[in-house]
Amino acid sequence: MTVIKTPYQILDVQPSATDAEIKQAYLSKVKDNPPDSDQLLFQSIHNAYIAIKDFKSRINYDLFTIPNVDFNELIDHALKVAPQDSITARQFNTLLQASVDDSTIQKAISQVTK
Amino acid sequence: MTVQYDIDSNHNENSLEQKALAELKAEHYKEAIELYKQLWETSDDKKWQQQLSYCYLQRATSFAERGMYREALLLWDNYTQFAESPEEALDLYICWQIQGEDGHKIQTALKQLSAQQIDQQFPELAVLLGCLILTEKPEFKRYLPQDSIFIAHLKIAQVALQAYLDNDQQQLNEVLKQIPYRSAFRDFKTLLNAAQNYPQSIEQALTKISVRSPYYQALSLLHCSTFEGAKLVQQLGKYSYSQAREIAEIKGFNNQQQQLIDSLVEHRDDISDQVKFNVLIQYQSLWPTGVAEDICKAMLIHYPEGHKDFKKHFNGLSGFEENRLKALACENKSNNIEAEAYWRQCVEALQYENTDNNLKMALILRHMAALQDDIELCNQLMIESLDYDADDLASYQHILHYFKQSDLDRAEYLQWLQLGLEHFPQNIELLTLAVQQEIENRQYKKVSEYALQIISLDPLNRFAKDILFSSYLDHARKLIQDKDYQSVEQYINQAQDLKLGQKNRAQVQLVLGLYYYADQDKSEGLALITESLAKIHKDPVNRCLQAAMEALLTALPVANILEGIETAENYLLSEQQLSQVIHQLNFYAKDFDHQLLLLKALDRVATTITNSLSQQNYEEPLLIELSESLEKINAFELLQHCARLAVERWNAVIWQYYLIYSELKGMAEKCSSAQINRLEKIGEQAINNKDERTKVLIDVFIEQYYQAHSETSTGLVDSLFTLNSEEGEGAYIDPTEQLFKHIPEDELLKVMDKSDELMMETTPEQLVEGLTQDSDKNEHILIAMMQDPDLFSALIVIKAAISLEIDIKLSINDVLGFFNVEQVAGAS
Repeated sequence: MTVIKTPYQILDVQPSATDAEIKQAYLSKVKDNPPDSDQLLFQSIHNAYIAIKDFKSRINYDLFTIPNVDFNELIDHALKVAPQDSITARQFNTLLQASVDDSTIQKAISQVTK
Repeated sequence: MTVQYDIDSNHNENSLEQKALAELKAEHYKEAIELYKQLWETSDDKKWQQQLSYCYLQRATSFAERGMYREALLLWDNYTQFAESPEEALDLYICWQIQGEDGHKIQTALKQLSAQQIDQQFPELAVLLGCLILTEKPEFKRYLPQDSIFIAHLKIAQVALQAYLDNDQQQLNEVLKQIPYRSAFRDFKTLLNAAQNYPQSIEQALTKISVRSPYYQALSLLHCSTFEGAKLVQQLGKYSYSQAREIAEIKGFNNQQQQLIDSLVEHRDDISDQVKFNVLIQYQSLWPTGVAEDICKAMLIHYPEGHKDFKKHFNGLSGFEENRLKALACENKSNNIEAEAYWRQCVEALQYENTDNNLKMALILRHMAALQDDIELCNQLMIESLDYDADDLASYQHILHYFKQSDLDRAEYLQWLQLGLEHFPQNIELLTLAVQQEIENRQYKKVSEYALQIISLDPLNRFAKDILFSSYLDHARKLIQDKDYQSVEQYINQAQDLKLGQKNRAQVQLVLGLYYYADQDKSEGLALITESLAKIHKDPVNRCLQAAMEALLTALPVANILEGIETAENYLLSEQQLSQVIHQLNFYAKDFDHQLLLLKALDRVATTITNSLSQQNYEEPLLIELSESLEKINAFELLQHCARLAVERWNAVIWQYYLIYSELKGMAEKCSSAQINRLEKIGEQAINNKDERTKVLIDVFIEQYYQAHSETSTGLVDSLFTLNSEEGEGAYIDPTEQLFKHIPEDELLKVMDKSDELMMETTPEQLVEGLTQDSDKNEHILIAMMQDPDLFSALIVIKAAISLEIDIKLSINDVLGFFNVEQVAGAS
């Protein structure tokens, strides 16, 4: 799961990757995502490379980077259930019954008044 | 409020009707009802009855719209008293009764409906009743006209629903076809079709059903159930708790997930860091092992209050990690002072660990330096960082920049430059700094060595090439001067080989000409000199200046060299040509040893420059540039001339300063007390004008004055007495001392005290205004004061004596006469 998007994840490399492996991954990503196709994506790839390109950069990243947590992605993961491609008749009927409340009738009455 | 009107006459009746109509039109139905009632009591007119029924119905409707159905139903009763055919609004009445939830009354009301009404007259009511019968009020069916189309369609809808529940697709499709477009169950049909093709058809169905349709909510719930994760939580906030629960049920969430949803829906308007943090801790089992811990740890930066809970629920943090997160949290709140303290603790924690943490410590110290506002502390941190990681170019650059800018400790700068070069011997920036440093040290051999090193790394480096070029030519000149001609040509050729463009070629030709003149053929040498100078400069002044300077640098006879150069007399310099003169002065002034030679060379063109300054209206910035150059080489006479002209034209603080500075030939110790007072005053003016540069110049000059004098007093009296005791050889004699020496000491002290006071509050302009009304003469005196600030001091003394009514036996005209200024008619 990638709730915190790290430069390692952006470049698809392990945190233990060498400088050469990181550079290779960066060049490959740039090749697949040139700046003229998606400027933002290219920028994020480039920034990721700058952040971890050598040992000093990686230490710097580990020490001072404030991780950007995507809370929505976290919730998406927590609420993961089997994909639903249909609704049962019973479920439909339950929803239909639950749908009628005061607001339903009020909206309908306002239609009558009009 | 009840409105009461007299209606004694027809006139009154008409008036009342108008008022009632006005209230009705303004939708003030209560007031209108009162008025129509009065009208109806006076005459049994059908018109009033109709208006009354209309007003009652409108009032009832407005109550119902606000959800006040009981009140609406009471007003309905009034409406029926006056309405000729109240059944026309029966749909409203039934709706209100349904909301009133009185089963008996609903039943009675529904029974009043005819088949024609439910099938044709009240379509919206039919849709509502259909929906209610299919969901929560199946009993309504019994009270409706059984011969109506509505009932027929209801039966089809019920069969369709049953077929759907029985999963009988064929039956469902066949039955749904029987529901026509114009049916109370059209939206139900759309809903069932959408459910059959869930989830693909839901969005499209939403465009087909009106938001006011009673089936819309069911479709909307179906739509909501198609969302997932965070988007679903966001959507669920729109529905009631029980509806949200049904959706969750459909999605198949477990208890933990369900509770997480409840918690998020509850805080949906403000999901703060605290809520997120608590949710992560409470429902951590919903994420893979360690994820909640990692994220909570990251969140501590934004939510430092969570440290305690973090410790309670997860593995504790190391001392280093805890301080690191706290430091980042402080930075996040722009609290750099506390952040620095935490970072310092991080460094200390790392020192005690067994692993090699040197790089981490160095990076933290550099990070701390970046947070530091105090440049000295920042520099100390950078220096400290190099103890742990000595190979960081940026740190050396930073430290060198600091020592160079602060100009505090030259030795420290040199030491760091040396260290930097040891670690980065091939760094062009450091090598460039080394070149500059050796130029300052006048170690020209080293300059060339470093410049050559730069060129070996960067063959196109213009800076290094220029430096080498100058170095070769300087060396050639030096050899000519020493009459050591053997290798002159070699250096000239080396300069030539650098190929630096046309102008530089002409410079080479010039030195070659000097060499030829000195050692080879004089006429050929002169021809080369003349030709080269013609290529370099378009005007005779610049040619003459450079020829003189080059002759002096090579110890050749200036007069002979100038023979071939067109005379510069009577030539007026253009702005561009004056700018070139400035450029030449700055170029040659780079070498301190050349300063005296430069003054001599300048003498050759000084008259021409003076004339140009007097006759040409140069822009002020150009003259400031010229003055800066003249100041640098101590060309005081020319500077004084320039400043005098500029004071007349602009009277700016900088020119007043340059005038005093040049009059004193740059010797601050020779300042009179009046001049010091004047300088302090114009210094304040410079602050007001936000002219920092001039302020610094003035401050430095004043500082030099006080350093030269052991007395630090600024008072005029003190200065006078101080000067009295300094009558040694070469001591500066203040003219005011001679003027006022006859005054008895006790009176002089009083007058001088007052003078000091007046000096602080009077500008020269104010002083002059008090002397005469003649503006021409005022200006004359003002200029004289600018040229000789002692005049200002002396006039202030006179003014002080007058205000104290002490007869010092001196008049203003005496003072003006003493300073050779035209006297003022009528002045005492």
